[in-house]
Amino acid sequence: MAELKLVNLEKSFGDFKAVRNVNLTVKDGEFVTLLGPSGCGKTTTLRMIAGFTTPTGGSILLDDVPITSVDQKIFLPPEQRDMGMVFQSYAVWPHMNIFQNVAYPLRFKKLNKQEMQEKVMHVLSLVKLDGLAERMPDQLSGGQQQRVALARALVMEPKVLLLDEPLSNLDAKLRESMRFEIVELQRRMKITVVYVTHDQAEAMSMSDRIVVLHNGKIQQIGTAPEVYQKPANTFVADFIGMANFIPCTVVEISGETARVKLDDGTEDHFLICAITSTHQKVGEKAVVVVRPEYVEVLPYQGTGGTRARVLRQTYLGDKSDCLLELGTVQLRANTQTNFALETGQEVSVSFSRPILLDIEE
Amino acid sequence: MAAKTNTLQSGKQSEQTIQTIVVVIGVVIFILLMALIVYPSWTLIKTSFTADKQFTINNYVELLTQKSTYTVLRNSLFVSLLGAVGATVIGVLVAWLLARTDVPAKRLWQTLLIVPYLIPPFIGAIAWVYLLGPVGFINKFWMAISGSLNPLFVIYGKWGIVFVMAIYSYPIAYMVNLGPLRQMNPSLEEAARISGASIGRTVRDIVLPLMIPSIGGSFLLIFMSLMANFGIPAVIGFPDRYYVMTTKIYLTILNYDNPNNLALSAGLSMLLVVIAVLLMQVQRWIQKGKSYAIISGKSTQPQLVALGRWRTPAVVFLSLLVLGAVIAPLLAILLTALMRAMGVPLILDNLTLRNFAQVLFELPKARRAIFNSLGLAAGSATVIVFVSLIISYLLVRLRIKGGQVIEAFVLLPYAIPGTVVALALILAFLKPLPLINVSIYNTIWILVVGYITRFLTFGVRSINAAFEQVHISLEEAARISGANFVTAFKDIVIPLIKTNVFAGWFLAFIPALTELTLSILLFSVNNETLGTVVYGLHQEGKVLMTAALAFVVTIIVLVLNFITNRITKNQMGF
Repeated sequence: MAELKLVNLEKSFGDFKAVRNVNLTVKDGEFVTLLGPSGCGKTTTLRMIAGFTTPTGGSILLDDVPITSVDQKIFLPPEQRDMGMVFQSYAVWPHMNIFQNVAYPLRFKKLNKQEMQEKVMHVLSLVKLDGLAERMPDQLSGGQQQRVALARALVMEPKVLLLDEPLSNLDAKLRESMRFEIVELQRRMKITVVYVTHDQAEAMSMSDRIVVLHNGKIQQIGTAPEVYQKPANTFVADFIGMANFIPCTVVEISGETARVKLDDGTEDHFLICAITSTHQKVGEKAVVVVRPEYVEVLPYQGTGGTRARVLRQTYLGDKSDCLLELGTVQLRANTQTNFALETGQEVSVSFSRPILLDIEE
Repeated sequence: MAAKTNTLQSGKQSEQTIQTIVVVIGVVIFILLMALIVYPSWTLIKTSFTADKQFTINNYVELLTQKSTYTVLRNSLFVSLLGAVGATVIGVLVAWLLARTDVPAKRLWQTLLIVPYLIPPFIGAIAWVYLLGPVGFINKFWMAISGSLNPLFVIYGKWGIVFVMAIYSYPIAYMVNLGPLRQMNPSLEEAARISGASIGRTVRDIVLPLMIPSIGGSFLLIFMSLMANFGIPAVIGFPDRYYVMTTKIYLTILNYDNPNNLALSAGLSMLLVVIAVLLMQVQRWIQKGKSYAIISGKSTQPQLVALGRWRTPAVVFLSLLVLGAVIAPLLAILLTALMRAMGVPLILDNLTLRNFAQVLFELPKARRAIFNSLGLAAGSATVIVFVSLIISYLLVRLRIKGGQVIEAFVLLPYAIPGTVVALALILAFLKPLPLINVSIYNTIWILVVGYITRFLTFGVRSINAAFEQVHISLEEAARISGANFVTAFKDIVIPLIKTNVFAGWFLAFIPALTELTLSILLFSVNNETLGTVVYGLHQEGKVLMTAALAFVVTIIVLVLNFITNRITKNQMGF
């Protein structure tokens, strides 16, 4: 059992607050991804978990034992944390061969030669590097070096595996196949993983839960469908997937839904939206979020739906991306490729699954 | 659990303890550096304002009202400027030919054309005296074939200085400009060609303007080093009574008849320092204006210019350069060293190895010099490497505040002309040291201090580079694998910086071995160095022994450079 808990974790560099009050529990065997744009604090958080960075506040507990605690002045050095880490740059030691690289963590365990050999060979076959043990790192491709780094992090069967944008230096095809391999390994070894990335597709395809970070603060924690379908705020809605934002005024609230009037320059355009936060009030300004795939475009028949004008349509193969002008706002919509539109053409649009969100300050 | 927490904390503490120790050693080194660099500088400035133990500006008044001051200043500027222009033109042309044209045998030229940079300049000057002195090989050959009683050209004097300066400094311009020429984005030139410009127009309109920062930078670098050069104007200028700033300062220091000689030389030194500082500022300013956007860092494969009918002239030019800067001087030294007596005809019967035996085994001061120089260079290089390890660790790994100040201090004794550094050291250490009441003046220790401070920048630069190459994640990967701070340093950092540390040792060792400018002012009887003995034998007119020792020194330096090259090239692919 390896449960990782971050409690009120904070890190400031001078006046700059890189990480603010982060609370997170990563359950045993769970794959959690820290997702956010560069500078959001995700790597700093990961480095605090690894013990490379000392937080300025809060604590980190591994199986309820504090390994970092600012209040108790506990700071376990990285080598005593029983974690494995894969670095963005791989950090494969260039002066050691593959076997020596992977065997290095075992030097600090009491193992005989035989056991060491077996463990290294086993983990090398797990990452599909059989037969390359005697090679030097500069004889390997980037993808193979990546696997060495992974093997080295896994060989001592760590309590927690940390991955810092491990796939960002690989080409697109390899990146995709590595995603599944990493997840597959994690499931097999039942290991707790904290994964850092700025790539939402990576996060969504790999993680049990995603932690969206922005400006050092957690914006939302949830499964991939949760963060996509019920974004907690406009940042999450915008960062994950494509989203149309339409300003609106709340007219009526009833239970889980609200009736709003869109402030899009058209007259009396009302919509029923799902509510995600509770503090919205009637009469206040808010934002409606609609994903492009939930904007339905039909030829304008004179009545029904709302009238919009086509600004351009771009053919994307599996679908077409359509830019529309609805009153004073511009909207993106996905349309069928066989539904050809002309610039300037009038269409009728309707929205499904709209979500009501607060206006961000 | 409490017990576990304790060991955990002790792990962190040991790391902090080690870092604290490093910082403390760093502070001690910094204070020592201040004492060895700042105190002499201060003494130099103070002395220049002192006469009869009183503050005065009379030294400057005297200097600035003397015609000779302006003469040597003008001479210095004249030879350095023309020497630098010549060196830059040659160096840029060579760099362009090797980087951007289809000139044949590039590898060979690259190896040969770097050699003049490795030969100590004063030895190069002596070699050219053997070639173009009044009885030099070329002049004698000319008189023999033409029947003329006058030599073709006697090298002594300003034009000789300019010539020797140019052919021994061009490698700097070549090395500085080779990289930018190779890395220049070829599409910039292709865009000019597609717009209708010929090769010549493209070079003139596109390549040269883009190269101005780099060419200007190398020109200033050479200009500064020539202003500071002592060996060439001493060997070639003294016989013609042609003096420049450095040689004038040297002569003023040695002019014991003038009771105020040290103050006056300090004043002259300050003038030289002001010029050096101004030039450094100009250089920094040029470097700042450098546009990195145009010259990209990635190595692209530029289209090579086909030389066509210019191929033969290009090869002839490169051959003449190799002949004039490498083959002829080395041959002149070797042949002179092998001769039985001065002036005998150059036939097999007149050749002997006796001169070598004499300087290596019989002449006591030469033997002492070999041991002194080897010991001094090895000792200084070793101290430099250890000090550099600490300084670089503080600068690169711990990124301590005020790191740039330390770097500036380290660079100072190298950036300032060696003659001035030597004078500052004399002035600072003439009196016994406080506390222990021992004077290091007239001992080997003042040379040790001089070499360490002067060449420290080589060690720091190469070990800085070493630490920068070892990305911090390599160390962190070891930590997370279970290695503590010390183990990670031992297993990962040391193996990876090892080669650069060796290279840094050689980079300090080689110039220290043949150092002349500081040594000529700081040496004393029994504490001779190779530089001072070669120079001394030459001034005494002991031509054969000079040549023999100079040849030995040159061979040692070339072999050491070869070794250094091999070491650094065998580095793991990083």
